[in-house]
Amino acid sequence: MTEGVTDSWVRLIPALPLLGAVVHGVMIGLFRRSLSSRAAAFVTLASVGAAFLFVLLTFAELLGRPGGAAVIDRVGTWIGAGVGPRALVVDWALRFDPLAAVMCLLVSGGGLLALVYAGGVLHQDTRDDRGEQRFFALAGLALSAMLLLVLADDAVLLVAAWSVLGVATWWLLGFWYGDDAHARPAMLAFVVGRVGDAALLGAFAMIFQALAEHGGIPAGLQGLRAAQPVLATLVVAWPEVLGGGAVPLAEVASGLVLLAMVTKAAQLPLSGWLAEAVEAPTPALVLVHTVLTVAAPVYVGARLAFLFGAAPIATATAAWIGATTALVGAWVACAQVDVYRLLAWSTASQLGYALVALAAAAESAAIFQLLAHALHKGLLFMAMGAAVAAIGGERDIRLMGNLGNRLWRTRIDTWVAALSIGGALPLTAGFFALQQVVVAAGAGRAIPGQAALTWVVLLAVSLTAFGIVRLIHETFYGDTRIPASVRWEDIEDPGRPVVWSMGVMAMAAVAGALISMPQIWADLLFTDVENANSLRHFLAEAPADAEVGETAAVPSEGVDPALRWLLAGRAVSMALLGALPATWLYVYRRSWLDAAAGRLRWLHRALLAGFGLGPALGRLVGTPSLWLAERVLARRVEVALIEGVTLRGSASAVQRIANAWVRRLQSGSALQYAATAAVATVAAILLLSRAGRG
Amino acid sequence: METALLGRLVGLATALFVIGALGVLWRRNLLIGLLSLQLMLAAGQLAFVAFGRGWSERAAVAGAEADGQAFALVALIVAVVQLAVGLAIVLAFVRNRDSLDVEAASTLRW
Repeated sequence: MTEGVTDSWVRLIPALPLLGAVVHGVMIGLFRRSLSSRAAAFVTLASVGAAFLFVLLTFAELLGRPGGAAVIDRVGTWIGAGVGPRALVVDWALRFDPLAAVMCLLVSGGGLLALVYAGGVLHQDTRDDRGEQRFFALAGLALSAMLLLVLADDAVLLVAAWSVLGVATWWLLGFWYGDDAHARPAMLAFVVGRVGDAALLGAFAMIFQALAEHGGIPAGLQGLRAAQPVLATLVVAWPEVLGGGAVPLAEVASGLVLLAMVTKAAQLPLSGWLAEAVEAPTPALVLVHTVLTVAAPVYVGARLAFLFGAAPIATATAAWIGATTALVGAWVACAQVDVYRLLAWSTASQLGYALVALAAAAESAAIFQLLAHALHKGLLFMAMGAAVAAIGGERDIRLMGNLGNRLWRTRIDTWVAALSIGGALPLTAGFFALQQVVVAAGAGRAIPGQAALTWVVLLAVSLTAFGIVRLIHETFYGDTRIPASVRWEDIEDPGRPVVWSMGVMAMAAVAGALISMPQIWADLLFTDVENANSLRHFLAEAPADAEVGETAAVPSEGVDPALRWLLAGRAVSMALLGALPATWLYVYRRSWLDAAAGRLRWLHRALLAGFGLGPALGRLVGTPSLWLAERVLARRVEVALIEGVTLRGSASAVQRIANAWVRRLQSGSALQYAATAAVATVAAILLLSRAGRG
Repeated sequence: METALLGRLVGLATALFVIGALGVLWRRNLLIGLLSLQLMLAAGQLAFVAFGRGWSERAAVAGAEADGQAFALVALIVAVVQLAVGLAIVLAFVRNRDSLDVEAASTLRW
């Protein structure tokens, strides 16, 4: 493996945003003073911008290397424990391979745009004097953790970064922690995330345990991937209580990884937290819903795809969870009136597609879907944030309407995002990502009930299109229903940094289409384009690594064009089937929709409440944790054990013994002390010499 | 150096040490106590020098020949410093208590 000068750049990518965050943290925490909002934004933008620059430089280096050899930065050894086959060595090793490169570009680039946007809107969105700097500190920490997560070349480092990301998410979502109603959903997000942390850690612990008994723990994630043939053959004993027997290790480990992914990506049945945790500054939501929290599980799924390859049951579960979430999320989003909740449900739905693609062994499709989702969902959050801010912070779409006449720039951006997320016209990244997902679902790795699965995904496409038409109509068209307190003339497009960041995001959403166009579409739209699906080819270079010793084999498109066209056609027609009637209904027959909602009041109410998934999750996860925290940990452990037995108990025991015995020894006589010291010294020498001989 | 001489030197050092220790433990006069402490330190230095001489002839590491002597010198300096501090304490004690009895200093107790 070659180690060039550029290899040691990689560590700067996560370190620089962290440095910015530390500067803010030290200023707020230690010196109790805050920078002006402009300076605070500058520090974080400069640090993340520099990280983005290094990502670009390293990317250029990666492209220049033969055979897709990764840029690897070994900073040093972090943990070295155990001997023999049980030896575990964890390196601070960062690996900039094609998958990490795509994720780094997405995270640092998307993060940069979100931070520019934050610089423009935060002053109207934070509620305490140090708010802006606090936000930039947290955003820098979160971006740093995410960059470390995607660069980590070791399972333990990956889990650590994943946990830090969870904490940073909690702080970002619970930004207004002073208000209980705002802090609680963030706590729910955190607790659910901790379940995922435990699952991920458990998966790796299980794999390490099993491998330690079969030849030793390999170093790093690449070592694990190389050990895949061994992993695929191992089994773990099922607990006797549950019937005994043995199950494949890959299934259990994949199941745990899947659980971790489900918690972070807000998939069913644990999707409630995402829609609950919308009481946060808009830029925080942009970050969490695009490049941070929800992106992490898709990346981990793609990174650990080798694990799922040997686990048909976990894979099928993942596919069905993803498809169901895509459908339910899109459906629930159609009924939401709080625009942020609507977008949150849509996020869960979009990530469901990515999960389906992962399960269908189409990692590049999943990553592309993630990328497209980051672009159009970031754009939607930014645009809706601008609209919400323009009418004085009202988030209810029933109190919007016709805003497009005043917010024409925001409306253009929203249209771009809508075209991307709707997936009916071949103009944007979202369209081609959706095409790849649908083709993967219909023609990828075989999954039980594949035909039904495909139709569930297609139905979700239809509902997504319906929902986005509804959103854009209710906010920007139709009759004005703004609150009386807002003057129509005061509604204005946001300031320059906001418009700029939205514009760049919109252009990226369009240009993203060129990154990874399915070959069939490239053949249709252009002539003579080879390797149009460049993301797929780029990511497929990943195995070509001297360490692993696999050869670079770019998988062929594999599926026959007729089937691909059939699936592509279905996707387009299902999207149109959602969008066109929705347009007609909303523009000409608004009353029908209201009547339908009134007639099916129970269904409407259930959808509005997101089938009560949020509160249910709160009861499922929150209640036991609260019970554990308050009843067991606080009362029994903290008060009784730590404070009672350990602190007070040990103190009073010492006091009692000292009073009764030890103080008699303190006679004040120097001779007596000297005699004691002499006797003790002789005793010590005798003991030590005996021990030395024995 | 033959083993017999080393044995005798170590024996002398032990005797000096025991005499010094007994003096510290039994005698109540502070000045005698200080003298006895010096005796103990001198015993230690003697042992250092004796062992240093005895082992330097078979020292495996070059430069380790004078280790015992070096230690003895260090102990000598410590002894002088200790004596200076000790005498200062004795002086202060006599001024306060008008006595040289060790047992007069027994007020620091429960």
